[in-house]
Amino acid sequence: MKDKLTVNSTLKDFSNFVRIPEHRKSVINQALSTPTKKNYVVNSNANFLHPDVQYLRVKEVIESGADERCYILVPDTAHGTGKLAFFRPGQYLSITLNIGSSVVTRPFTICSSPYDSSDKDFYMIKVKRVIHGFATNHIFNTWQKGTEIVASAPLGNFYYQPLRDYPFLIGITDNDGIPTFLSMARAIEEKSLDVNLTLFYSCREKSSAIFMEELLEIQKRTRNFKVIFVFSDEKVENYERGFITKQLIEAYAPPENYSIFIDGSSQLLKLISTQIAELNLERKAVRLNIGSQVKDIKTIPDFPVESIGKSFECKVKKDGKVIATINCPADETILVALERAGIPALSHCRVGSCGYCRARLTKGNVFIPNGVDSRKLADTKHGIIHPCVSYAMSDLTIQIN
Amino acid sequence: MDFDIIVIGAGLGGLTAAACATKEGKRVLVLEKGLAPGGSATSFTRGRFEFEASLHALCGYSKSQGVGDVRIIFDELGITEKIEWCQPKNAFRIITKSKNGERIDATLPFGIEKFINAIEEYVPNSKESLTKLFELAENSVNALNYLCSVDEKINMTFAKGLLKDYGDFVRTAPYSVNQVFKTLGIPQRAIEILSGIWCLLGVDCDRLSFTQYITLLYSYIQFGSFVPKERSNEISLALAGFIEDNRSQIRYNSPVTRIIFEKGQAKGVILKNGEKIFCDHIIANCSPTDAFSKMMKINDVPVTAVKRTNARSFGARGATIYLGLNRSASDLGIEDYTTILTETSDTSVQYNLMRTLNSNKMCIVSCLNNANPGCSPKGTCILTFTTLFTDNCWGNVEPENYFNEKDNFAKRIISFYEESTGIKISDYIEEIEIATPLTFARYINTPQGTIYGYSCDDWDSMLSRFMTEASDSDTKGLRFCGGWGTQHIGFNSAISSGRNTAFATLYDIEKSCKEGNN
Ligand SMILES: Cc1cc2nc3c(=O)[nH]c(=O)nc-3n(C[C@H](O)[C@H](O)[C@H](O)COP(=O)(O)OP(=O)(O)OC[C@H]3O[C@@H](n4cnc5c(N)ncnc54)[C@H](O)[C@@H]3O)c2cc1C
Ligand code: FES
Repeated sequence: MKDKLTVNSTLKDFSNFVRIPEHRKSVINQALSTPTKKNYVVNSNANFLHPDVQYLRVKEVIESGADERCYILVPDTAHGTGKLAFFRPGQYLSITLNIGSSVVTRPFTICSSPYDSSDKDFYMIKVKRVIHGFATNHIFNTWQKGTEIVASAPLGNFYYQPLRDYPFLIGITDNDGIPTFLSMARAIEEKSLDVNLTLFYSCREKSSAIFMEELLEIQKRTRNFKVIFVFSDEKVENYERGFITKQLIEAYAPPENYSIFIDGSSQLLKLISTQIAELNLERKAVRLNIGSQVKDIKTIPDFPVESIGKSFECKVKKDGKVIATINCPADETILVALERAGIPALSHCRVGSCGYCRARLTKGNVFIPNGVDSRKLADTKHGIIHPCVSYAMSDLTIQIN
Repeated sequence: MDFDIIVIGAGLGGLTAAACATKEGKRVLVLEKGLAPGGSATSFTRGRFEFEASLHALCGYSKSQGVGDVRIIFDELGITEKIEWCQPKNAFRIITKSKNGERIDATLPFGIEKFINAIEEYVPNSKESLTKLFELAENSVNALNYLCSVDEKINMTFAKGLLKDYGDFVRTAPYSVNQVFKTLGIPQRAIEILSGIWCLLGVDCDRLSFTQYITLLYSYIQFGSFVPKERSNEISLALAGFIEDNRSQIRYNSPVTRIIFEKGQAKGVILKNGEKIFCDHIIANCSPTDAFSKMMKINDVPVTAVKRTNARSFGARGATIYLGLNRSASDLGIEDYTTILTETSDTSVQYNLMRTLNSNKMCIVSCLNNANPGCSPKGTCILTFTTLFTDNCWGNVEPENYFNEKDNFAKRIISFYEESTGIKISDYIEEIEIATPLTFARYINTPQGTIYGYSCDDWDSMLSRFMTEASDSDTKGLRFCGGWGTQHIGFNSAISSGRNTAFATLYDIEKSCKEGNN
């Protein structure tokens, strides 16, 4: 038989074993009986940096172009938001709007600078009125000085990351994506962002470029920021004419490695993608913000033609109960159908990437366009869908949060 | 009442508790603050990568039916087949410095015999003592299984009875890892290699309970470790699916802010939106610290519970760097799945280095592709660095410096990895995400962003918690499971504590039914 192990002596080891429970109880018994501490700095800082909601107020409305307005938003202390959460240029706020019987959200990129929010207590967002738009018209019609607003924390991952991106950035944008780059340019000027940015800004004509003066001013004051306007429909002295091309980018690109940040309308993304491909850059050096939604799903090549014009019934479950049965047209996202029916549904990015609208599909089929399906592998297998990019292809049952 | 049991939190502990109680025919309501199941056991996507949020190695699972506690629970619930598993080739590689400054770099395989032989190659003449170590390991694991299977109180007579079959366990259980290593006469260099896994438990080997250490080492080396192909999200969704498909319910976006007590008995919960839900049996997957300090009225918390909570300290706070690299693991020369990097093999010194932001470089690195080859697109790989902080240094970071500190922290860890391995990775970062204790505080709602529950210091080790479990259950109708419970942290601990807590609660229900009938 093998020798038995002893650490001190057989007796001592045994009595130490028997004393384990007593020992624990006596340590506990000696502890203070004052109420346990409940607040920790890490938790309150986490809460401050990523609040669930931010209550804001419109401080100022600025006309920034034809059908373009900027809103200066400040903390609404009366509702409990004392200080604005910090953000990084490129991040957006998801704003909740009550319109008629619907509750909807819309994402807006912050176009002010980080120090504007941390030191001067404001965010600025730009809103463009969409001709037959639902939310933007509501904003244009109702937001004025003093209007109370419910916003998310700054969200999104489209920002400069020094360990990943090269410090020389090429920005590509149009009127839709300009808030991102205005925020970056302002950040570069105030030195809260340490990069060199060359921005290509595509517009129809000079008069339709927004923030032109301000961008040119920043360029004058800041060595690290350069803006190149590219007008497609107008020849303007000293400015580029046509589209943003590979050749144009190369003419301004630095000899060293650079990262391209693209943010703009879906037309811009379409036009630029072949040009970018020809530059033959590594994938990490090209960062694309999928900010704009598909306007008309029927034009997407892989959309099942047989579903055009069809409409389905969708049973909506929440907290274990069926709360409504709604109508879901095949060419409208399920999220919009929910909002139309007046059901409060969670959402932030509305382009399939944040996962906030997450729902479980327990019956039926949906269509999810290529390129916006950023669900996790196991989610896909278990019937989790992102209603903001899912379209009904049959009668459905979904469970929402 | 609509529900037999309310579970607060859908982490692995809460999910397993709910699933097991559901399996036994109870209707359970799980209330989760976040939007998805799993707590730490989840994943997230960036660009063309899907990152595992937490799991490096799952112990207690095995390829054979009926072997390993996690496997047994999954078999019972019938979810084993729903999850696809991958297995890393090697147990771990450890790179560190010995006390005299010499570099230690050892790669160790799974399988006890192979493991012992591999160490013998690095440290001649260690075989005999290591064989003894694993005999003791087996004895300890058997003893613990026996202890779990009996209902008896651990008193003198009972302990004497243990001596016959589990004498070595009894005589080593009161001591720290280092005390027992010394007793076994394990050569210094072998100790330095073996102690490497202390960081999986978060307490240095001078204070870490030997029994706790050895059960981890044994199950890890004996059964190997596993990772689900579609990340730990796959485990969480399988458990959630079982719950929801069997008459129980999970409500997300439903933070519990208060636990209602009446006359010393739990009666229900209040949600953030004010909704009250009544139920006499509550299982909490959140920290007792939060439950006692924030969710219960001071007068409802028994003095013993207050004292216990005040006596304990938090285990390690976590920080993780997730990298998607645009080169394959083999192009970069990364051969291992798990690499543990520390600055010194002296675990107490290392523990102290981990108190402050600037001096902490310790990290557990996994290259998921070396366990799960198809986990990222061809020509890329995923590398994750998990660091632990043994003090609250992130609490000293001013919010305005937070983004910068995060980046600086990641830079320091990445360059430490590059120096230690000679492998250059910083030029190939295509995606990066950095989680700090603030991130964990936000997502799993733990005090100080702790990911290791209460520190399992010698007096509060798993064994001592287990031996005093009855006196810990001093809140009638409210039990705790998961990483803050008796079994400490880890996927397998959380899962098996979920099951144990479910059964303890089922027993409570039976008892209160009987009392009601009388
Ligand atoms: C980075 C990292 C790496 C790790 N590596 C490993 C490893 O390799 N191997 C291993 O075995 N273990 C590992 N772990 C540990 C393991 O993940 C955990 O121990 C285990 O998942 C804990 O499960 P839990 O049941 O305690 O729940 P948690 O994951 O802590 O989840 C608790 C849940 O409760 C919810 N909640 C909290 N408060 C409330 C409230 N008031 N109301 C409603 N809901 C609430 C939270 O939102 C959360 O979903 C790691 C952990 C981390 C973070
Ligand atoms: S709202 Fe972001 S994924 Fe649907």
